[in-house]
Amino acid sequence: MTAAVGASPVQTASAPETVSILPLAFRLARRELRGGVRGLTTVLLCLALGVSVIAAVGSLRAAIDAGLAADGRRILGGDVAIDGGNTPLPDTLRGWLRDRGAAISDVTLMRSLLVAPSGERTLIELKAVDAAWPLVGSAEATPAQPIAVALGQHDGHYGLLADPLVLERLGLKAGDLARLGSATFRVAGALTTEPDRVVTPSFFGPRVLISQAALAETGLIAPGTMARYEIRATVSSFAATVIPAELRSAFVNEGWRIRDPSQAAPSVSRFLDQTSLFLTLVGLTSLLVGGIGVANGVGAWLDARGRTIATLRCWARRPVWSWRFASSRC
Amino acid sequence: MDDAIPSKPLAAIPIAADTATPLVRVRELALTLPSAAGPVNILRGIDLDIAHGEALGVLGPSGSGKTSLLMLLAGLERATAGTIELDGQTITSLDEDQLARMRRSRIGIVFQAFHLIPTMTALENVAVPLELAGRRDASARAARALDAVGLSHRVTHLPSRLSGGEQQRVAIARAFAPEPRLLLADEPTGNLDHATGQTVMELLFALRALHGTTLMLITHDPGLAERCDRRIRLADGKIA
Repeated sequence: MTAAVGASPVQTASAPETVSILPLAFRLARRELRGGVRGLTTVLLCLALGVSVIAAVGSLRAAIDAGLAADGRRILGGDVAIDGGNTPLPDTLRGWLRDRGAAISDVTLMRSLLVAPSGERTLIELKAVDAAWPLVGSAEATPAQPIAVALGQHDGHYGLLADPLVLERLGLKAGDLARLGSATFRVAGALTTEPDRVVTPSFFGPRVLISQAALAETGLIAPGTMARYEIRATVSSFAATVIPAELRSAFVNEGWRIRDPSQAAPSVSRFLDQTSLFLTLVGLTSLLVGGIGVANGVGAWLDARGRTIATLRCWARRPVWSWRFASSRC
Repeated sequence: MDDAIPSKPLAAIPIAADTATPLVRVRELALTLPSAAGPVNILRGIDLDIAHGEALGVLGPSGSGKTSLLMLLAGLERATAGTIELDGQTITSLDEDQLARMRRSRIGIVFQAFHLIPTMTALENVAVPLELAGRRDASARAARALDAVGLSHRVTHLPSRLSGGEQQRVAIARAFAPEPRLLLADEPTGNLDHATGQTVMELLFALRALHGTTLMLITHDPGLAERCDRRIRLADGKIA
């Protein structure tokens, strides 16, 4: 057995050599971690969940916002959309827009019943468009055909394109006849792609698309009819930035809703705002729970380590669990 | 577990105490602590010198102030009045940081309850004060200290894997490793059975003799106190 611990039996401890502080701190921390992190599992899970939820909500929100910003024109159907509500928009507006080089498209939206020859009927969201529609993006039909041709008049009947669900529900196929109001239409096919569907959603029934000229034939437009009138316009890229503001000041008393691509889907933005707020609150709650867990965990750790800390305090200048202990060691 | 003493027992070498210049000089030391029933006088005007290399046995009934005296000498408790000089330095005027530095260089403490750090191995427990003192050879010195107490085969064991006697031997190795001038031992055999206690005390006295360490040993065992050069008895906070 070697009994000699040091060279000189009675000498005072020699002046300490300089050792790196960080390795010592990490060495002590590593030893302390041998106690395990089992008690911290719930805390770590809460923190991970909270951070993940907030990060996921933020990322999702950012991605959707980026998508809306990138597709704003397509979703809106133009550089500017003027919603007149239940009042038809005046020709003065169309003239004002054309004077500024705008291409315009009229859209009328309403609900109605489509009646099949068999007498079967279904509630539909009717959309009447002009030949310029869609100004941005493209609409597609099956069988493939130009939209203007599909909606045009053949053999004395205007054509209609309907959501495949309507055709299936009423047992219709291309070439069949169906009644809408007081007019009889020829089914031109199924409407498979509608670029501005986000801003003109079909809440009460599937979509049926007809032309503005055909709408006039239906007799559906009468005093008291619940129809919504919109005009979409595309302008040069420079004018696109100023037209909405000019419109608002030129028609300040009309009560129209004038939107640009940044406000293409306000209801979607509102839904996203509320959803992201809710999910962020969920994440913050998780973080709060995690924070309380951290506080409890630290308290329990200190309780369990009180004796260890007191022992270390015999030799360390400052509280040994703090970062400063090492830097003030000598 | 193996509580056997080292295969080559350390020889207890008599040390001539240097009484002319005491290592520890205590004057009018008093400690009063508050309590719900009013202030309690734990120590009342202790005067005490401990010479270099001397082994002092402190006896006395429970509550007489033995451990409080040790805590004051170690700088772990603040005196209400009086002075303590260690090696010519008045420690009662030192701040907490200076006291910690003094402890790790000049004082070794062996407690009844061992106070080993449960997440550290025997080697790490012995090395910790050396590491905190900034010694590069902390691990090697700790290994030698463990070898000196016959635990070279237990260096990687955590305290929970050691017997009481082995834990106290680790604590003794930890106390001796920095080569302190003063060793304070508070009933080091209090948690051990008689045979293990004997072994531990043999070891402690042998190492003290080998290093010439000044010892203050608190004990209830008169036989153990008899092994010291001098004995004092505390009663009601005074040296009787």
